[in-house]
Order: sequence, then C-alpha cells, then structure tokens
Amino acid sequence: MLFRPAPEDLKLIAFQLGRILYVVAIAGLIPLILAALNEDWHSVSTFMFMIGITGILSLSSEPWRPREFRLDWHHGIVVVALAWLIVPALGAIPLALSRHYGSFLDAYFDAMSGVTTTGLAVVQDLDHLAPAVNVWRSALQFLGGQGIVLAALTFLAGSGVLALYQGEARDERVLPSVTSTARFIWTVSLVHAAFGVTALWAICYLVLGFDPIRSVLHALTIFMAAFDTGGFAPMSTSLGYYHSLTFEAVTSVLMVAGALSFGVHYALWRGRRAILKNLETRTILATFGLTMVVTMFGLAATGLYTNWLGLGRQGFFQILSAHTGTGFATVPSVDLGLWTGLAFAGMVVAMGLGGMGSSTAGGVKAIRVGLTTKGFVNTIRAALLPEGSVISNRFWQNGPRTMHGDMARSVMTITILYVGLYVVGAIAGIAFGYPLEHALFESVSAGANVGLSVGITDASMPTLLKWIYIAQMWAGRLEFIAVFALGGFILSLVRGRS
Amino acid sequence: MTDRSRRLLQYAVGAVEGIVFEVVIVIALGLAGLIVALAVTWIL
Repeated sequence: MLFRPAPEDLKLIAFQLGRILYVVAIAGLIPLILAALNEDWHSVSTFMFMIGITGILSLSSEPWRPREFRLDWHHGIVVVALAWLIVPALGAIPLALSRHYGSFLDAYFDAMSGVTTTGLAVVQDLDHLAPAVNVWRSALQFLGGQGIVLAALTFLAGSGVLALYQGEARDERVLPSVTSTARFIWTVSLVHAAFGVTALWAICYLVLGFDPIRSVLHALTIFMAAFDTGGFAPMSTSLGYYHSLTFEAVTSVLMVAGALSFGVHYALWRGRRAILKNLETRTILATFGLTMVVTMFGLAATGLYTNWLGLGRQGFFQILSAHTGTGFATVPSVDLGLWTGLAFAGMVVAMGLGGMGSSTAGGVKAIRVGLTTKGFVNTIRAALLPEGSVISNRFWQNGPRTMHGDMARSVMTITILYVGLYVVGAIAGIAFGYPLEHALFESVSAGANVGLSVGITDASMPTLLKWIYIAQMWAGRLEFIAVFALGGFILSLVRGRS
Repeated sequence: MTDRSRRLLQYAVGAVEGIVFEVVIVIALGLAGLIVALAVTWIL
C-alpha cells in the first residue's frame, strides 16, 4: 500500500533542494567574473540573472528548515533525482540567453548533457560562443562529474547524507564518513586540475602558439571536460582542432584519471598497488583491449586510414574516449559515421560498458561487467560439472569478496536496464528515420553519458528525440535507482493514502 | 615533523605517484594500440 507523503516530507525535500542550489549560484560566479573581466556585459547580465533566480529559490527554502536535521533514504533519493532535473534547468538560463541556442529546450539539452557529463551538444556556432559561456558549459560538466549533491555535501553535515551520496550513483566510501570522502574527491580533482591545466596551458602557449589568456581558457575548459569525462570542447571540431599528439596524450591521461574510481585514486595515493588484482581493474583492461582490437580490425577494413600510425592514433584515442565515457573526438562526426562494421561494433560496445564504478564515467561500469561475466561463467560451470561440485563465488576487489545472490541480482538488473535504455533510444532514432547503426550509436552515447556523435544530435533534430536523449542522459547518470524512486514518490503523491 | 605534516607529505608523494601511475597506464595502452594497429595492417 502506498502512503501519501506528509507535508513535513515535502518541506524537507524542498529545503534540501534549496541548499543544493546554493552550489549552482556559487559556481555561476566564476563565469560572471570572467565575463566582467572580458567586458562582455551581455554575459554578465545573463549570469547575474541566473544567480539571482537560483539565489531566490535557495533562500525561499529557508522557512522550511526542519527543527531536527533528519533525512532518510527515501527523502535523499528523491532530492537527488529532482536536483538532477532542476540544476540543468537553472544552468540552461545563461545558455538560452547567449543567442546560440534555438530554444530553451536546446539550452536545457546542453545543460543536461553537461551535468550528466555526456557531451552531446546542440549549440549553434560554438566557435563564436562567448568565453564565459564556454567556461560555464565546462563548469556544468565539472559540477556534474564531481556530483552536484556531493559538492553540496562537502559543506553539509548531519544525518542522512549517505542517502544523498548513494543516490548519486556512488556506492563507495573511501573514507569512514561521507563528508571526508567528499573532501577527498575534491582534493583529487584539484590536484589533477593543477597538473592538467598547467600541462595543457603549456602546450597551448608553447607548442600551439596561442596567447596566454586564450591558452588558459582552452586548458581550463578541456581539463574540466576531460577529468570529469564530459567531452564538451570549446571548438566545434573537438580535439581535432589542436592537431597535436602531445595535447591528445595529456588529455588521455586526464580521461583515464576521470574513469578511475575514487577508491582506486585513494589506493594509489596510499601507495597500494594491489588495485591491479581487483576484478574491476582486470575487467576494464580486458574490455579496453578487446574493443580496441575489434575496432582497429574494423577500421583497417574500411580503408579510411592507410598507414598504421594514423590507424593507431585515431583508433586508440577514439576507443579511449568512448570507453572512459568522455566523448572527445579527433575525427569529425561525419567521418565517425563512416566507421562501419567491426569499427562501429567496437565503439558501441566500448561506450556501453563505460568506466569504473564510483567514477565520473557512465555506462554499465567495469565492476558490473566483471561480476556479470563471473556469474555467467559460474552458471555454465554449474551446468557442466557433476552435481554437488563446489563453485567459487569469491573475487578480489580491494580485498577478498564473495558474490552473494542479492549482489548478482542487483548487478544483473542494472546491466539489463542499461541495455534496455540503449535499445529504447535506438528504436526511437529508427522511428524518426535514422539508419539503425546511427540510431544505436547515438542512443548508447546518450545513455552511457559518452557524447560521441555520428551526426544525429544537432539543433535540427526532432524535438521528441531531444526529450528522449535528455531522459536517457538523466537515467543513465543516476543509474536508475533514483529515477524509480522519484517515480514511486510521484505515484504516492497522486494515489497514496493519507 | 608533526603527525599532520607527515601525513600531508605522505599524501603529496602519493598524489605525484598516482599521476605518474596514470601516465604509465596511458603510455602502456597507447603502445599496445600502436602494436595492434601495426599487427592489423600487416595481417590485412
């Protein structure tokens, strides 16, 4: 039986949402200052407008501050699901007012693509977008990659924050408390920012000959998009714009860093190399190797790259970008559409599998792939071996673990849901008249939060398809649980008993 | 050296080691990619 939420429940949810929105208002100050320094007064006014609205919404939730700070699992998960719908709506305001989007829906599409670290874009004339707005697009990715709620958790305290943390598809606490884990995640990110921005700036300034300020903007936007596996580039030709192997190499390091779970980062920082024993590490290395071999064979067969160096460079970078869920490309969308046969299959599988759990990457995630494979192999073993044979369910993941029935069911369910998400998006694309291969590629790219495109995603695509991709990006990023919880909550509001 | 500064130093060294590890991983994967490309070109 469903019970209708009490008014106190709704107030608590509204209050928590208000607190999370403070983070968006604070983040908006960065492009605001940049626009002011650049004397771009139009952008200044749009960011002030967004910060004003967000600030008013945050402050208006203050009267609902609970006497006792309590937040149970159900409240937390609904807050997360709603936050990931509302934050892009507010983040879309400066985009919509930038005159580079055909409608607010287009701006919302890009903002959702940003916060979910997808990277699919419908912006028009990106190459002439104001620097402050470009930085805001990347900042949305950084905010989303870090976790909007997690960003707020760094400053929040009290009981119930675990629900918010887990609701955002993070199930790994590397330190005993959620708050200390959140701070560790920020520390890792800032250290990588220092390394990444400096290295990219040096390449832009010293190798590519950009002026110092332009180098900073490019380094900053690419870092935020690479480390948070987002994929928004400041130029329409993505990373192909730079034509630089060293630039691609540094970006590759940042993409790999973004696709590692923060548990792995913690282990590395503590000098523990046992991570190579982890099921998750071995799985991702195996799937990366497999998809790379398949893609290279396919690419060679297409005849697009006649020498092995070009084949290796393009094949490696695109597969790395797909598998880490980043979505940067060094080849144009039109050319990516020509990657047919095995090259197409390799790319789609790499995108669909994704990075490590509790990372900023999307997709099924390596730990689930590893456990699903183990469960599958064990089932076959059980069928082949004599009755009564003992089959080990043990595996190594930061220590010895056992795969219980509940864990296997949960892993299988999420994996099947991802496959279903990819298929639904592909069917929608086919229904709108796109070829099967292109529709599947774009659907997996949206659902796994990758951002590579074969050309379907642009401002002129059907409105309904934009909504479908938005829903895919949202559900894929939250790994379904929060989405179902929100559905249940809405149902209990409508049909529940008092 | 206090416990706090020792811990911070340990963290700083760990952070550098972590980034070096990531660089090594990318170099290894990149080399593997080139070897695969060479092999594929040779086979086909």
